Amino acid sequence: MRLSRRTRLAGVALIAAGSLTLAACGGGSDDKSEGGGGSKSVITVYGTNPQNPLIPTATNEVGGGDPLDNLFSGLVAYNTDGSVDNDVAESIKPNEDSTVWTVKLKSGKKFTDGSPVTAESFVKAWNYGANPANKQLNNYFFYPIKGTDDVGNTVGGAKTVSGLKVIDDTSFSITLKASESDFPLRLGYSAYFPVPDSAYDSAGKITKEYGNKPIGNGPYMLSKTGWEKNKQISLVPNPDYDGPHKAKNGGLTFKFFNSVDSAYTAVQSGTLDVLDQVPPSALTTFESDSAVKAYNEPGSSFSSFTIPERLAHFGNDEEGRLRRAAISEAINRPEITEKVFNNARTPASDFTSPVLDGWTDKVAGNEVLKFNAEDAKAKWAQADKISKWSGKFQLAYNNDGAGNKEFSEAMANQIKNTLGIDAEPKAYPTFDELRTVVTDRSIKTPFRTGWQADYPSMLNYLGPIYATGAGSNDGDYSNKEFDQLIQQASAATGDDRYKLIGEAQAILMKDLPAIPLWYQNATAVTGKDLKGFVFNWKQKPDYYALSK
Amino acid sequence: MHDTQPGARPGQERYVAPTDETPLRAIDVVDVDAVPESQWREAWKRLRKSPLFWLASVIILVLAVMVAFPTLFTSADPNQASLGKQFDPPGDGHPFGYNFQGADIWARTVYGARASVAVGVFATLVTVLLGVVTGAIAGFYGGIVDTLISRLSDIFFSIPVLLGSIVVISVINNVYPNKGFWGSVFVVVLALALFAWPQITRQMRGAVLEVKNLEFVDAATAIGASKLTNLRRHIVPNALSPVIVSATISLGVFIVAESALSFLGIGLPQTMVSWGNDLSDAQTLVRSGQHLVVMWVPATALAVTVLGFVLLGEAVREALDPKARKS
Amino acid sequence: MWWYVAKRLLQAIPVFLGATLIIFFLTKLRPGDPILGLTGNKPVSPEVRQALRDQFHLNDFVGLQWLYFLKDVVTFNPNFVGLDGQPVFEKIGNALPVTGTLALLALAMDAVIGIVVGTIAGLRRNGWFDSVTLVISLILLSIPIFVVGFVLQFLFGVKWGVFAATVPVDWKITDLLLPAFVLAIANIATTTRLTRTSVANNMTADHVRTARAKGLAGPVVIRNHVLRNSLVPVVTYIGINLGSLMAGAIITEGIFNVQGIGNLAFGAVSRGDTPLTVAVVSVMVMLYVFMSLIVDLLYAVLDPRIRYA
Repeated sequence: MRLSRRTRLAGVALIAAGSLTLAACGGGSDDKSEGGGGSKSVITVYGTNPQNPLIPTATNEVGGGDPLDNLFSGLVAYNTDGSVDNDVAESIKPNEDSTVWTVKLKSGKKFTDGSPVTAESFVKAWNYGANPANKQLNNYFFYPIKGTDDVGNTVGGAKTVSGLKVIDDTSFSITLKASESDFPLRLGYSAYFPVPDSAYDSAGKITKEYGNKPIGNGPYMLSKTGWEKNKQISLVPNPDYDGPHKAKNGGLTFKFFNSVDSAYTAVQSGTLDVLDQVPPSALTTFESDSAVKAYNEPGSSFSSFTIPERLAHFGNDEEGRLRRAAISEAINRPEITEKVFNNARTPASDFTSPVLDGWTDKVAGNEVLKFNAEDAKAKWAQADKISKWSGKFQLAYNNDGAGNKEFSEAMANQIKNTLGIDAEPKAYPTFDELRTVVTDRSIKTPFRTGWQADYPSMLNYLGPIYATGAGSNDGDYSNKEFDQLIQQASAATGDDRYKLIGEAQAILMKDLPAIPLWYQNATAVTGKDLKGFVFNWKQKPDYYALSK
Repeated sequence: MHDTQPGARPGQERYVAPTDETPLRAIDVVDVDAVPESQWREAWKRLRKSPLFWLASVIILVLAVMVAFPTLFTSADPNQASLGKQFDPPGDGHPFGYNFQGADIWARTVYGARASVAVGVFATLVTVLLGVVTGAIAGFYGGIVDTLISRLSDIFFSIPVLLGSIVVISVINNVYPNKGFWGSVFVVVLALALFAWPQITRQMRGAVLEVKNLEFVDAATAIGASKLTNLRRHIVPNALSPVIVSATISLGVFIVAESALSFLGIGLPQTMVSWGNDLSDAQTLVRSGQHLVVMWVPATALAVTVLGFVLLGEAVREALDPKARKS
Repeated sequence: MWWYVAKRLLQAIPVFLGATLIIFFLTKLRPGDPILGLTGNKPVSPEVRQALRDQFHLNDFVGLQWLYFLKDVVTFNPNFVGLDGQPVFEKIGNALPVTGTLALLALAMDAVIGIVVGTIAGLRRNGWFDSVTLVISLILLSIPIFVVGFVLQFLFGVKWGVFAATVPVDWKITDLLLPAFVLAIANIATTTRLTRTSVANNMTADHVRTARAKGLAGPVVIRNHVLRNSLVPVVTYIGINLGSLMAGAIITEGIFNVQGIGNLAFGAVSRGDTPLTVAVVSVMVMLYVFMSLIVDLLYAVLDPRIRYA
């Protein structure tokens, strides 16, 4: 069975690759499993050494996340554009008010160790992730489910989440705390992947061995060498996989680099096929670099900066709104995206991202995001009449992020030159340090903020950041009307939903709880002979589709 | 034997490189009262004849004027920047054009001298003060005091200066993030001096031990001078000359160390105008080989300044070092 | 001799303890929540936080934390992890070869160029070669290493493409030639000056005059009497520099993107990763202590007047 599957799989991809005989032979011997797809090339891609065991609920950074996404299949799979198709799930059906979802699995799905993927594979893994005793970092993803607290831990440290019920071998139900019409959109995230029974020891803990050599149900599986610490992770196609992300290459090797600069050099010299980002030092040159293929297009991450309402002169009142608008209009976004980022950013025209379904650049009131020195001065003067401004306008940024220093300086200069006030950037050495003072509210200046959604929905760019009391509402913004619109939009579908989102964004344009700056473009370089490179909604390549 | 080991300051002399020889503050050399007048006067005589000394003096004088009266050198505001002028070519009153952020390159270099010189001068003063006091006490009193000071200096000596400074600065900057010009300078001075003093201590201790048993000190004791008077009047001034040489060179070393720290993004705050910060900003440009003038101007200023102090140190060493005299 | 080695090693213990203690306490003073770094800034429940704090001994008295740390360092505990959950000594072990090679290469360049040029200059003191050497070495001493680094990187790496502009993770020794030279430059200048002075002084020393008076041939005098004596301070300087070169590699490694000890240390400090920071500094201190011992012993071998009982 294994054999015939592989042969078939090879045949499918070979129409593209064009050398049928060789590959068919490759399928003839079980020993060839390392080679996977016969003549199809193994693609080497940029990676970093995973910081955590390769367990779906334990990995929250890209170093481990990218391999995991290829080793596992979830209930749904994300298409390139961010829409979802059922993958392991046969159907995911809501009740009337979208609070209870019933999942039915396709039958015959297997992990690479041969064991079947059952309802239990999901529910047990999720319970494990939400149980605080297991110290899983992705517990946060379970917070919408009934039986968990605000950060996604089981209530009172219980072993199981009360909102998860196994109905039979191939179906289970999920009860949510509140109505959520796009809940299935979340389910392709790695935290929701299934885990086979063999992963657990007798005490019910996922073993260390499993974390080093995970067994999944995805388009790929670990090769014999698998994860070589601090060197690479190599994957070969999973011959039994028949979901939507079938591998078109002979395998993936995530090569670890400690710096993007050296990875860039590796692509130039042909020792690395894919680098899914471009180091700042190469931003001005990568598109004309004849040694690589360059990619540059709008992406899904949104940049802004937040002026908390608790700062003097920036309250949620007439003065605060005038000043926020004045600052926003004092910033010449196109000048910065061109001169600082060499057009690897696109000036923002809303609070979400242009790669999403339903996005439009026609949000009411978004002219406040356009550079307008006259109006900015007028608004600032008007605010001065309410209460005279004094002091320094500081803008906090984290210095470990590429380009942050340059754009913060440029922006401070623009504000200074336009409004005639004293403005300067203020560096925090690391992201952690900036987040620490932002989170404990001890920061006394405006600060840079950004958002990259966990799943492709415009609401994910709004609710978690601007809703009253939301987890990432760093500026403590609160607007009842906005909250209501977001709630209605969650429950609505189709055009109604986008209309409500538009209205909610119009409110944000007036209040500017964060000042939108730009969308980060997805940039990448690949070897000259690489084919099939497309950015998906996460600004990552669809690894399975790569070939050369 | 160990006390006269040359070099040996981990992480430091890579930038400039003091060795057994070392120098600074030649002007003070003549001022140092005490001691057989003639020794210093003689040194001054030799110094005056040295072309190195005069070259160094001119460099340092120009630098001093630049620090005190930057407006004599430029009329532009180093903090005025506009992205629209990014990399604009030189023009009237802007001899080197504009940098990445659209600020005047020459103005930033002129005003940047202040921070570099402040760090260099104060780090040297603190290091010398700490080193001379601890070294003199250790050498003079000996015994348990000596052991304590020597072990302590061993400990600080074993931590590489640059590495140690990075730790100290990052900690202080985290506890006290907002400091003005002098506050920021003070932090860098403190961090550098904390790991640099043992070298001076060792030198001073060795020199004091050598001088302690000389005849004129014995004579002073014989005519009833107290221990402390002896130390102050006779021993310290006589042991001072190797320290002065060390100090002159380390002034240059500290200026480079500051720029190295700023280059790593951890020295002076990035909003401060300093050579290190400008050089740090220039690094991505160098990688792509564009607009190199952004790097050349502050780099040249830094190199010429350090050269000034290295030359001065060289001149002072030749004037003071009896071995060099002999040949 | 062995007694001397033992004594020196014994003396090293308080230095090692003191140095680690100082760095440990310093890093502890730093605010910021290490747990946030560990969890990638996603919200953590109090239970998870508590468990992590226990795992890293963050709830214990600082002195006790230091003792835990010492135990891990002294035993090179493979399970001793930094705040990113990665084994510390594995990281150091991975970074050491490249930095070690870099430092040794730099040391070799320093020794060869410095001694050869310095000796020639010293033998013909005040000749044109000596003067040119003096000027060049003073200039080299004045230019900050990162400026030299940039310029050479630009010229050789970017413009002419002779060497790799940055060093890849799977480096070859040829990739390290350029960074090693940059690292060595300031030391070459000092070694040259030192050798030159030392050789010049020895040329006029009494025993050399005696040897000449006895009618020994010039080259023999120079080899047997001048060079051997002159090299004592030079060897000391070069030897003690291995440690300082490794520590000083922070800048060079930054410029050439070498994934060695310097980058590791710098990253650890800026991330606030206390275990890793202190471990790296401890390794540097150990290296320094070890190198000074070697140098002292070399002294004994080279200088006939010194004998350690």
